[in-house]
Amino acid sequence: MSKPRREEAGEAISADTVRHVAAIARLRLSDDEVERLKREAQLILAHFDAVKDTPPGEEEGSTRPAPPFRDDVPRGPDRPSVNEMVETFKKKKDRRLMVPRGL
Amino acid sequence: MMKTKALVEDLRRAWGNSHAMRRLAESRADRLNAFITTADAARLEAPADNMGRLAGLAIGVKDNIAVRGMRMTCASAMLSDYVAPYDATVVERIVLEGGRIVGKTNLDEFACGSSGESSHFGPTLNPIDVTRVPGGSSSGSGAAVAGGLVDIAVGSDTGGSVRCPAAFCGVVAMKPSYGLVSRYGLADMCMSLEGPAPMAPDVYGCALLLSVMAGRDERDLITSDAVASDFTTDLDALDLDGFRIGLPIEFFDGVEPEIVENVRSAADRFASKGAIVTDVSIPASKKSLAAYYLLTYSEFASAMQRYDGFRYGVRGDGKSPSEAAGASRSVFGREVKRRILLGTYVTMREHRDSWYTAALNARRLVRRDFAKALAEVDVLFAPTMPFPAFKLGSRIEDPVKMYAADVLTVSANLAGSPAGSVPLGGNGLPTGLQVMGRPGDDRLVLQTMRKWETLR
Repeated sequence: MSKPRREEAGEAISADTVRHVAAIARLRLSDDEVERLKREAQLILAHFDAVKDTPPGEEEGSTRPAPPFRDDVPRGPDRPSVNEMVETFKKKKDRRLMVPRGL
Repeated sequence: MMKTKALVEDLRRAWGNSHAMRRLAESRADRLNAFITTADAARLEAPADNMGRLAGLAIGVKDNIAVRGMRMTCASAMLSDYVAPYDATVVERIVLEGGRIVGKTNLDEFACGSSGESSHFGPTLNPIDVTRVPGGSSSGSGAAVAGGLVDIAVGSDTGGSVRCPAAFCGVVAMKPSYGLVSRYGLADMCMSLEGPAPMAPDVYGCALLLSVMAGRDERDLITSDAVASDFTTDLDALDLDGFRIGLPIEFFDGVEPEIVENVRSAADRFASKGAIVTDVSIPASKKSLAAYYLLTYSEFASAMQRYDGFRYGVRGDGKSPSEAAGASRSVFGREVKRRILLGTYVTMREHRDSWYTAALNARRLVRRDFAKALAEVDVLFAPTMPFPAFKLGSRIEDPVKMYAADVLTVSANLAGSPAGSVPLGGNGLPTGLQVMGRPGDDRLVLQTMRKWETLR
């Protein structure tokens, strides 16, 4: 897919832009969805115009406490056991699992 | 006597289980659609065997938080069959204290919404008036607490998701300071703003559940023990003599007049007992709603990449991995697709500075203005929502109108501040008084909310 021309400031988002962004986001959209999302994106971004291009303010000290580091102690993986994982599969027989085909 | 406190003491005396558990087991037909999954009868009816702080209490958990062995759908067709293989940290801590997880509560799909209407499993209804929304995104948690189906519930709050349903359903909710409660096991929507949060019929219930959930977790490095403790012990200890309450003027614009009047009356009640009430200003809060949504879109679009049918979610048909992923992701609902699309757009190289970076800058300004205001006063009072619960279907087709509902709650998330909602009182539909404080002042916010329970 060729890349659509970039919109200038204030210019409406085009249907081609919606298709291009959807492809990057791995969203498969119908023509109706493209039209609806184009309309909604224009409305929403126009509504959020007050924030557009807000410059960085002067830096002030963070109000959040700095996160502590945990002790650097070697340990095993922090994850459920194989048996616990197997329990979550719907279709299984003994230790064989039914999974969907890849492609 | 506080309702939840009395219940906890009764259950401990009798080694019993909450009546809510029996009610839920008996009325499997959940007319509010508050639950996506309920626990099996064995779990509901098993005798109490742990006299921890939550012994025998029936607890609902929002279905974007992992409970081992139970389905975790995030209210999406994408995860309709997914079973969590581990417990979220908050769930682990609840179970250790004897709490009974009785079900997974409904929500807006992947927590994207303010009304509870965008769930793949159908809308949740408001128990106060079933023709109205319960608020979102923790719609099922709010409705289940208000409807008496659970004693307390866990929700999550990214931009108001426990405070909105609390205000609309007439219950209490508390968004803790960012970093007080572990996010491990929470399906993220916007990691830089959110966390699990308690909902209850009263402030004591919220304080109790927060005491259990809070504190450092090695699996979430933003957490700390700095302010975690038992928030129930001195809940009634607030001395109002010289206590300073700020009313941020920007938070009263566009709010229904009766709600404005009720918040000001609440502040007057505090003043009559010795508090000092003043107007304050948080100018950057005018940018909060836009900054919040732009940041949420951006982080959400990134977080949702894992749902492609290969790593997580329903498998899609296709001749290539990208085609199969596209087919898998076509099951997302409207709001989820909208947010993924906009999040991808505003973080693209050619748009990033204008939108995403600008939103980060705006967040810094909101934090700065919050800190300035909270240097002058101890807490801020504002309405939780600008209006009471609206009719089902009345806003869902208009995203700008729907987003506007969050205008008063998102600022606390941007500031990392604790913020609670407690029923305001009045004659009509429920509305909420929002109390906000400095990051780390969770105890003070809870004490202030509790004081309102005794004054109203």
